[in-house]
Amino acid sequence: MNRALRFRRRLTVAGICILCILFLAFYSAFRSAAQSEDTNHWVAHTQEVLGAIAQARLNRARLENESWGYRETHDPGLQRQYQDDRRRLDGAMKHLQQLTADNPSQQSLLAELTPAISIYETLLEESMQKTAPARATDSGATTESLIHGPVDAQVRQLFDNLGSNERTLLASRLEAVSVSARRTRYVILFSGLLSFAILIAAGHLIQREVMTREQMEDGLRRTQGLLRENASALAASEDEQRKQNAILRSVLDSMAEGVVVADEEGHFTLFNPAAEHILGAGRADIPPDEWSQYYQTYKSDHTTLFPTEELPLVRALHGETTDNVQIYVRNRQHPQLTCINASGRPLIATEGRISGAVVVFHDMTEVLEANRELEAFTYSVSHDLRAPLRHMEGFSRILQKDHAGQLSADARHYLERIHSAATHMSSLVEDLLQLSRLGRQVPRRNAISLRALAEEVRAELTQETEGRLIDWKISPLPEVQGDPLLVRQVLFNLFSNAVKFTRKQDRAMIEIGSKDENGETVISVRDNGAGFDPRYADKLFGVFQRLHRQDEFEGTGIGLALVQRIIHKHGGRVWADSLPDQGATFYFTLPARAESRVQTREMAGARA
Amino acid sequence: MNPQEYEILLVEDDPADAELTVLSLRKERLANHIEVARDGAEALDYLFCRGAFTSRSFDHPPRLVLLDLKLPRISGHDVLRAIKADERTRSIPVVVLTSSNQERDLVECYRLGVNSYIQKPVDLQKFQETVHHFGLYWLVVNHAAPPAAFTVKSLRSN
Repeated sequence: MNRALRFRRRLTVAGICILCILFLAFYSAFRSAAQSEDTNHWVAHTQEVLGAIAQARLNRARLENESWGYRETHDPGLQRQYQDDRRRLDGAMKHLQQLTADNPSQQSLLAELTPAISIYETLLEESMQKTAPARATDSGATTESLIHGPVDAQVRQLFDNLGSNERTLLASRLEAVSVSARRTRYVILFSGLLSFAILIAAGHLIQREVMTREQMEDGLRRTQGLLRENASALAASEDEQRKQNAILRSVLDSMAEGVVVADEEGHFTLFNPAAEHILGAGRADIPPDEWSQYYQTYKSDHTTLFPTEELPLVRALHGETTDNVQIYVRNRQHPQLTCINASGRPLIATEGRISGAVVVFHDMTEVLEANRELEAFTYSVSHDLRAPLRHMEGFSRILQKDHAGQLSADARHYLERIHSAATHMSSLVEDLLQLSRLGRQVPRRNAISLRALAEEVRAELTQETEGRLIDWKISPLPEVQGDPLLVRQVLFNLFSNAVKFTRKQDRAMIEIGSKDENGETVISVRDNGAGFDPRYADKLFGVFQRLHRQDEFEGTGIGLALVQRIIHKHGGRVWADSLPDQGATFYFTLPARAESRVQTREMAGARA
Repeated sequence: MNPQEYEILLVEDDPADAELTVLSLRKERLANHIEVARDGAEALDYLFCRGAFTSRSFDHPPRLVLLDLKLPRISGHDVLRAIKADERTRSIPVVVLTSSNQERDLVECYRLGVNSYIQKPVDLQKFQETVHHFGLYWLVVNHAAPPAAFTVKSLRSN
């Protein structure tokens, strides 16, 4: 646009310049031509003057001849002719006078000439009168000539002067004509060349402009093509977005978790049906300060209002991320407080500014209820289920020890069966309780010296390894993060497994080592015991799963399940490899010491 | 009444458990006399010389109370709380002897001032070893507060 405007303005200026130049050129050519014509006119005028002079001279000569003739012949016809020619001479002189009116020098000559002619004529007429009756003689003629000779010479001289003056004028005027003609030629040539140059320049300019225009049009066409493509892509992406929105909408509408989104000013922009169902109150346009009051949120004591500034959504609006915050809500639909578990996240716009926040929460009431029931159940199991076992074990033991003599061998055998069954069930109950306790426990995160812990556990096993030959190799082990009691349990279970399954070896070898693999520390416990069939490796860590017969190697099938659960609770992995009769190696990973403190605090918070 | 005859009060509602405990104590020859209370209310009556035990005197407190937690009527926790809350009975060593190894029981008992917390092992042999150890400690090694102290205190509190 701008370019076209500029071009048009430039074109206008150039056009005006060219017009001026051309006008000047043609004007000077015209002027030259006019001047030339003028000069020519003056040349003609001079020639006319010369003609008139010649005419006057001729008339004067005729007068002289006629006067001489008349004197000789006295022919009246000649007298008439003389009279005619005299009139003609007068006319010619008058004509000459008129013609040279613009020329003062000629006028002054004429002023001298006219009286001289009059005198000359008078002298001629006088001579004609004197000699009119008689024939003129040669002497008379000579006398006559002597009388008007000086006047004649003067007249002739004046005519000569007139003529030479006029001829000089003619020469100079002819020179002017030639100069003017040359100038006109130059002017025309120059104008022609200039026009030609302008034409060429204009042609070049136009061609360039045409090319530029073509290029621009080409570019414009390409841009239009791109625009069209963009428009169709945009339409497609809008379509895609609509689809995505529809999917998101239906997910949000059907999910069990409550999702609430607020913009940076605290207006709710999303409040899904689950959120409304869980809270028992829907979207309301109230300021964040009053959310806790309006939605009736309480702390764990069920009576203190949850501080508004600590609500996950409010904290998220301030840029904080929160996880698993427990809040109690008075939902008007339920007699009891609803416990929700809420996590908040700030919504960060592209410029890094907080554009709002989202909170996601789910109803924990049932889970808590189930947990409470489970706790009551395990409490009851730990008290009541164990008592009868203890009695069976205790009394069968008393029978065996104090009354063995009164019993038959069969009776003693059955008694032993009762006793070992009670013992086995007791360890099952014990392990199950441990497993269920672990399910509800959030592990602590302390720095643990694995080496010291391993030595401790080994010392604890001395009673079981009494009388056996076991090579323990505990290499230097790293410090890890975890719950000391739980990690101790892991080591205990793995070590006692190793001790148990090497029972048939003359010389047992148990090796505890560590290596760094892909940035994490892998702890291994290797033995040269019975090993297991790798085909059943996936069953190894299942609850109540055993890969050996009870009469080969006793066990409850819970120890490794417990190991796995503890390691998973710590965010680690556990696996094993083995071949039958070639020993087994168990591996596990634990978070390294460099774990962030934030997480530790969060875990502590979750416990509280 | 010979004070030696009332050396141990066993609070246990389960007769089988009571029998096993008594058997173990007898075997270790640690107690001449074991009084068994079948629930928490009876235990408190005995300790505070009331109800069926008004004839008892604070001058002859048991040397040791073995207390189960899960009891009918008044729970072991409440019995423990009552013993440790009263000047007259506070000095009596209380050993909780229970099936429970639940952390919250353990924590609660120590909060209430228990002197020992022992989980009953299923293995009778282990139980007997345990009984041997705590019996030896509380009844032989440890010096009990003299009965006079109780008397003085009880007088003062009156």
